[in-house]
Amino acid sequence: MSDDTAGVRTHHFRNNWLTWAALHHFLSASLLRELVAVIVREMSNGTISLQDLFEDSITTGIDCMGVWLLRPLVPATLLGEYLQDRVRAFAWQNDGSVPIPSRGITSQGGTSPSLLEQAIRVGAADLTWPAHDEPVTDQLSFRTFFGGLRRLSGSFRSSAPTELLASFNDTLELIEPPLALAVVKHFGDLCADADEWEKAEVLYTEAVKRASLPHHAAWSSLVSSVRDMIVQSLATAESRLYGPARSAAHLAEALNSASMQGSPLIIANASVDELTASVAAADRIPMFRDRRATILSPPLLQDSHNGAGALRSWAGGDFNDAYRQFWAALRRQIALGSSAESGALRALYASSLFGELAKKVTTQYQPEAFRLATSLLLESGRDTAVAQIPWNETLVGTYVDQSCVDSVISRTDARKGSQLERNRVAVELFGHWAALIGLERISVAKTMLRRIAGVALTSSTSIYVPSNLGGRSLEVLRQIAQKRPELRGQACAEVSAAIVEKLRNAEVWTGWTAALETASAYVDAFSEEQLKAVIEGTLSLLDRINPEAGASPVVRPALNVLISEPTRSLSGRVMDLGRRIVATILRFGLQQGSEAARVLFYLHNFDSALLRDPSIVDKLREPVAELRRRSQMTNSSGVVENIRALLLAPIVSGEDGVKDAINGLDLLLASAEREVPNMGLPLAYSPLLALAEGQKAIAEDLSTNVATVRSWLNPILERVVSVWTVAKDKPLLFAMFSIPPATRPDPAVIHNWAFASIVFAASLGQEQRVQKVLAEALSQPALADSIALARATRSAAGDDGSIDTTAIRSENRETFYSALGRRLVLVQRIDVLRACEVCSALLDQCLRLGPRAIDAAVFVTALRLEIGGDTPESMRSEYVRRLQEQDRDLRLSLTPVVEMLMGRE
Amino acid sequence: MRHSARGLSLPTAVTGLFTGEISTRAGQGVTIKSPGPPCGRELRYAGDLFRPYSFSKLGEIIMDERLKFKGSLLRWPMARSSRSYRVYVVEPNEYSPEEHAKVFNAALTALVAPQVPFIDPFAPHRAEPTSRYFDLVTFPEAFLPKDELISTLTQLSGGEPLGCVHVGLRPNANRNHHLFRVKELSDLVEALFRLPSIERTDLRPFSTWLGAQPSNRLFNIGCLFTIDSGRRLRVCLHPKLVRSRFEANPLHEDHMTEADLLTLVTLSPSDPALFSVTVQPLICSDALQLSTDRPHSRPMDAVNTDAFCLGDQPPDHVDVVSVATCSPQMESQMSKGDRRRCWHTDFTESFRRAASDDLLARHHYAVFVLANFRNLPNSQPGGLSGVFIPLPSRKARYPDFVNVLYYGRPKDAEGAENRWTDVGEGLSSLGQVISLNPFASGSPRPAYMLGLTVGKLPRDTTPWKPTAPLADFEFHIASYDSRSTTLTFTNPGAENE
Repeated sequence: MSDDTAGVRTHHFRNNWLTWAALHHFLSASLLRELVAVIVREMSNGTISLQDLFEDSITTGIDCMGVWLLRPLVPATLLGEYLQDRVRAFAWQNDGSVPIPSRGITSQGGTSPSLLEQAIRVGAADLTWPAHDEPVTDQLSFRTFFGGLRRLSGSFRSSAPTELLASFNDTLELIEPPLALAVVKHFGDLCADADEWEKAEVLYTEAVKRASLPHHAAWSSLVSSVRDMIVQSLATAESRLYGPARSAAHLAEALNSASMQGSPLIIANASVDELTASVAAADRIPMFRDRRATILSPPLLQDSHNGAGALRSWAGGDFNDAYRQFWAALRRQIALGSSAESGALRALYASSLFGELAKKVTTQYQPEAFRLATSLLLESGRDTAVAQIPWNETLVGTYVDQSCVDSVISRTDARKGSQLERNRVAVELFGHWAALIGLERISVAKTMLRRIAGVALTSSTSIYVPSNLGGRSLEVLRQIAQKRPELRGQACAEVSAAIVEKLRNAEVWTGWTAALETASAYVDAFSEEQLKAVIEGTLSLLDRINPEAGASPVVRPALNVLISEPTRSLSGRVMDLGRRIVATILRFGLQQGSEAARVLFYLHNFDSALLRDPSIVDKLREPVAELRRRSQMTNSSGVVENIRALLLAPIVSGEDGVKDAINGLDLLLASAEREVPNMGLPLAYSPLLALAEGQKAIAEDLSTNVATVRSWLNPILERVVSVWTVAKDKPLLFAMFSIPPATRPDPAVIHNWAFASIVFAASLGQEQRVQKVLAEALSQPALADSIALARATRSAAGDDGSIDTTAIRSENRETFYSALGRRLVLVQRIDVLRACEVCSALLDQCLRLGPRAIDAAVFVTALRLEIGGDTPESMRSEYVRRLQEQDRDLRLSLTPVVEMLMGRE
Repeated sequence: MRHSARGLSLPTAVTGLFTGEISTRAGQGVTIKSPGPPCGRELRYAGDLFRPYSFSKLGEIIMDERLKFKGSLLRWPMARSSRSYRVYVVEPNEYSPEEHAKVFNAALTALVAPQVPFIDPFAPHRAEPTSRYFDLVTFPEAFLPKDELISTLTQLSGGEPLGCVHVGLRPNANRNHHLFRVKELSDLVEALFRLPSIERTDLRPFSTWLGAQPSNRLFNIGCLFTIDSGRRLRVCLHPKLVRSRFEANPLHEDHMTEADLLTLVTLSPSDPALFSVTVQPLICSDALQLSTDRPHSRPMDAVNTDAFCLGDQPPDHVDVVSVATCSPQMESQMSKGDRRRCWHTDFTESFRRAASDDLLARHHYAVFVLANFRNLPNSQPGGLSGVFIPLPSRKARYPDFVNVLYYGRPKDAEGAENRWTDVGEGLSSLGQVISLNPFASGSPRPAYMLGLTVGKLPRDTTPWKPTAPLADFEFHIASYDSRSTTLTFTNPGAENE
C-alpha cells in the first residue's frame, strides 16, 4: 500500500476513530493496526505512538488473512498503560472493557478514555440493550451512528423494512464512506441478530449498493472484504426468509465467480454455508463432493490450538471426536512447549472424560479412562475444575478403589515442582470422593482422610487462595465430617494433629477459623487425649487475643468448640481444664455488654462443681443481677429470653434467680387476662419447656428436691390453664407483634404453646388438666388445627396416652404424618384388639392422604393384624393411581406391599 | 434588653441541654445562659457576625435571613450496647405507592418481632426465635403515605426502644404526586403532635421552618423516627434540599421547591463508653453534586460550610448519611446475556468526595446507607440499595446476593490512580460499596431487604489495625401468603444455617 493511500486512511480514521472503534470488527489486521495507531496518537495528542507501546509484526499478503503479533513494552505513563491495555483488548477480539483509572489520564487531545470505552460498548450493543448516555464528542460520525442505533433500537420491531431504511437515509449521508458502508452493514447485522430478517435484507441490499459506489483506492481492500461479507449475509437472510435452496444457489454462484485474489473471504468463509444450504435444500440424501475451503491457521502458534473444536464436539455429545480433538490440540501444545494453556486443556479433557464415564457408568467399565482422566486433572493443577465434574455414588463406587487413591497420591508426590498444585487437585478429588464412597470401602476413605489431614498439617494457610492449601484442606475435612460423620473416626489422630498445628502456627487468622470450625465438626469423634489437645490449642489461641479489642472473627468459632457437649463433659472430669475453659468463656462472654443472657447460655450444662467456684460466682454476680432485674420487666419483649437464661444454669442463677425467673413468668402469664397482654406472652412457651425439662437439674443445682421445685411451679400451671381459657375467646393472645396489628393468631405460636403446655403439665403429673382445657379450646376455629398438630407432635415425642381414633381420622396430612411414627410404636405395644382399631384408622388415613414412604410400615402392620382387606376397594385403587405418579424409588418400594395389601400377592 | 425564657422557644438543640434566660444585645446576637449542668456555661450564638435573630416570631430555629440555611440539630438518647452498627436497607421491587405501606409494615414487623418456628422435638437443636437488633433501617424516597406513618407511629408509641427508621414520605398513595403542599405538611405535624409519648420539641424546628413557607410551595419530605431509651417517640421531619431532574416541572403542582432546613440528629448512647452517632438524613439528590437554585446550597457541603446554622456546637462529625432515594442506576451489558448494574457515577463521586474532599471534612468518616426502588416508575433500572463505607476492605468472600464495588488501586501499581472497580483481588482499597445484587434474587418479589453490620463506625476504628468493616449479612425476601393478603419477609438462607 502506497504512502498516499495510507495517508488517506489515516486522515479518515482521525476524523472517525470513535465510530471505527465501535465497528473495528469489520477491519482486517492491517487496517486495525492503522486504526489503533491513530487512536493512540489522537488520545495522547501525539505524545505516544503505537511503537512506544508495542514491538509488533504483521504478516503480508492477502489483506484479510493477515495475522498481527504484539509484544507489550513498558509504558511511561498511566495513559500509555491504558492505551496498551486497550489495544490488546482489540487484538483479543472479545469485546472486553478496559478499566480506566479514575483521574489523571484525560488525554491531552481532550478525549477521555471513558468515551472510547463507551464507543466500544456501543459497538457491542444489540438492539435490546438499555439506553446509553448521549456521547459528548465532536466526532460527527459517532454522534450520528449513536443516534441511528438508538432510533433502530426503538423502531426495529414496529417499522416496515422500507420505512426503516428510509429513516436512515439522513444518517448515512452524514457519515463519510467507507464508514457509512460499515454502519449500514452493522445495522443489518443487528436486525439479523434480532431475527428481523426482512429488515436485515433491506439493509444488506442498501449496503451492496453502497459497496458498488466508486471509492478511493485506499479502501479497495476494506470494501472488497465488506462486499464479500454482505454476499454471505444476504445468503443467510435468504435462507431464513425463503429457504435454503435460494441461499445455496446464491452462494454457489458467488463461489463460482470468486477468485483467490478478488474475493478470498467468499472462498474462506462461504463454502461451509454453501454446503450446508445445499444439503438442507436437497429432497433426498445428497451426494456431494465436499469442496469446502480449508484454512490452516498458523500451525506453530499456540493460539491456533486452543481446543475449540474439542469443546464443540463435547458440547454436542460427540465424546469420541472430542477426545481425538483434545488430544490433537494437547499434543501440539506439548510440542510447542506450552505449560499454562496445556494445563487448562488437560482440565477440560479430564472433565469430558469424567462426564462420559458418569453417563455410561451403568453399562461400561473403563478403569483406564478413569485413570487417564484423574491423571490429566492432577497434571492440570486446576483444582476448581473438580467441583464442575458430575460426581455420583455409582461413578465413585465403580472406579475409586485403593489402587486409584494410591495412584493419585503417588502421582501427586512424583514431581516436587508441581506438588502444591497437584495437592490442591488431590484434596478436592478426595473431598468429593469421600463424600460419596460406600462404606464397604471404608479403608479407602481412611486413606483419603488421612492424606487430606496430612496435607493440612504440613501446608500453609494464606488469604491468597492458591497458597491456602492448609486452610482449604481443613475446610474439606469439615465438609466430609458434615456429609459423612461416620467416616470421622478413620482419621481422628491426623485431623486433631492438623488442627492443633494450625491453632498454634497458622500464618493468618483464616487458618485459625478453619481449624476451629473443623474442630467443631470432629469434637464428638475425638478421643479424650485428642480433644484435650484441641481444647488446649483453642485456649492458648484465645489467651493471645484481647477481648477488649473488639470482636475477632476467631472468638465465635473458638467459643463453639469450648461450649460443645464433649468439651463440657470433659471439663467435668478434668477440673483444671474445666476451670480454664469457664474462665475463658467468661473473659469473652462478659465483654458482650448487656448480653448477659448469652453468658448463661454458654455455661449451660457445665459441671456444677466448676460453676460453684468462688471466682466464677464473683464474676457472674453482676450479669446475674442484671438478668434478675430484667426478668421482672414483663413489659419488655426481651423478658422471655432473660427468664429462660436464668433457668439455663441454675447453679449460676441461684435459688433467688430461679425464683425470679418463675415469678417473671408468672407475671407474664397473668397479663393474658389484661386487655393488652405483654408483648412477650406469645413466646412464653419457651421458659415453660425449660421448666418442664429442667426440674431435675434445678433441684440438683440448688441442692433441693424435685418435689420442692414442682411446688414452685404449680401456680404457673394454674396460669397456663387460664391462658388457654382466655385464648378460647381471645385467640389473638397468640398473635406476634406486627404492623398493622395481626388479625389472626400465629399458627406456630399456638402449636408451640399447646405443645409446651402439655409437656409442662405432664412434668407436674397433671397433663389431663391441660388436655381438658385444650379440648375446650378446640372449639375456637382459629386454634383448632394448630392444637391438633401440637397434640400429634407431642404424641410423636413420646406421649403414651390414649389414642383417639376418631380424631386420627379427622386429621389433615401434616398432622397425621407428624404423629405416625410414634403411633406405629404404640400399635406394637398395645393389645391386639386395640391395635386393630388404631391400625385401621392409620390405614384409612394412609390410603386417603398418602402415598408416603412410611405408609409401608402401616401396611405391613395391617397385614400382620389381618385387617388389610377392611378398607374400601375404591380407596385402595385411588391410592395406587396416585402412587403411579410418584417418583421411581417410592413406587418401587411401596408397590409390592400395596399389591400384597390388595391381595394380589 | 432582656427576655425571659418564658414565651420563647429555644432551638431544639438547645432545649435538650439548656434551660434558663435569654438575653439579646442589639447588634450582638443572642446569649443564652445556662443555670448549671450539663454544660454550665454560656452558649453564644453567632456573636457579632449577625443581626439579632427574630426569635419572637419564628422562635425555635435560627432564622436570620442572611443565613442560607435554617438548622435543626436534634439529640436523641438511644439504647445502644455495642460499638457495632446494624443497618438494614429495604428495596421494593416496583414504585407502586399503593403497596408501599405493606412493604414498610412487613419490613418493620420482621425487624421488631421474630418469626416463630414450630417446635420439633426431634431436631438436634431447638430453634428459638431471636429478635433482630437494628440501629438504622432505610426505605426509599417518596415511599410511605403520611397517614400510614401516623398509624404505625401510633402503634409503636410507648413501646420498647427501637432503632432509627428513615423513610421518604408522600402525601397519599396517588402514584403521580409525591410532593407535599404546605397545608398537608401542617396537618402531618399536627397529627404527630397529637401522638402519645412523642417528644414534641423534635418537631418544632420543622414546624417553625414550615410556618415561614408560602402556602403554594411543594416539598419532598423524609422522616427519621425512633423510640429512644426513655421510650419516647422521636420524630424528625426533613425536607429535600436539592431538586432532582425529575422534580423540575413546568406544572406548578409537580415542581419541587428546594428547602433550606438543614437537619442532623445526634444519637447519644446511654452507655458513656460508646461514641455518639450523628445521622444526616437526606433524600436522593440531596447527596449529589447537582446544581441548586441558590448557589452553594447542597446539604452535605452546608453541614461543613454553614454549620453555624446548627448552633454553636454542631457535631464534629457526621457518622451516618442515610439516603432515601428513587434513582435510576446505570445498567450495562458486559456481553450479550450478562447485565450488570452499578451505582450512578454521581453517587460514587459523592462517596469519594465525602471521604476525601476538605470541603466535606465533617463527612470524612461517614458511612452512607442508601435505599432505592429496584425498578423505577418509568421502567428504568434502579436498585443497588446498600452501604458505602470508607474503610479498606479485608479479604472476604461476600454472599452472592450482594455486589461489591471497591475504590482503590492495584497494590503493585506504583503511582496508579484510585478508581472504582468490581475486582477486589490485588487491590489496595480505600472504601467499598456493598449493594443488593438485582440479578441474584430469582423471580421478582414485592421487596427485598439487606441487613449488615458495620463492625465499628469509621470514626471508632483504629487505622493501625486491619478490621473487618462489614459482617453478618442477611438477605430477606418479601412474599405474600397463599391468600395474597399478608406480606412477610423471610430469610431464604436461614434454614440452612
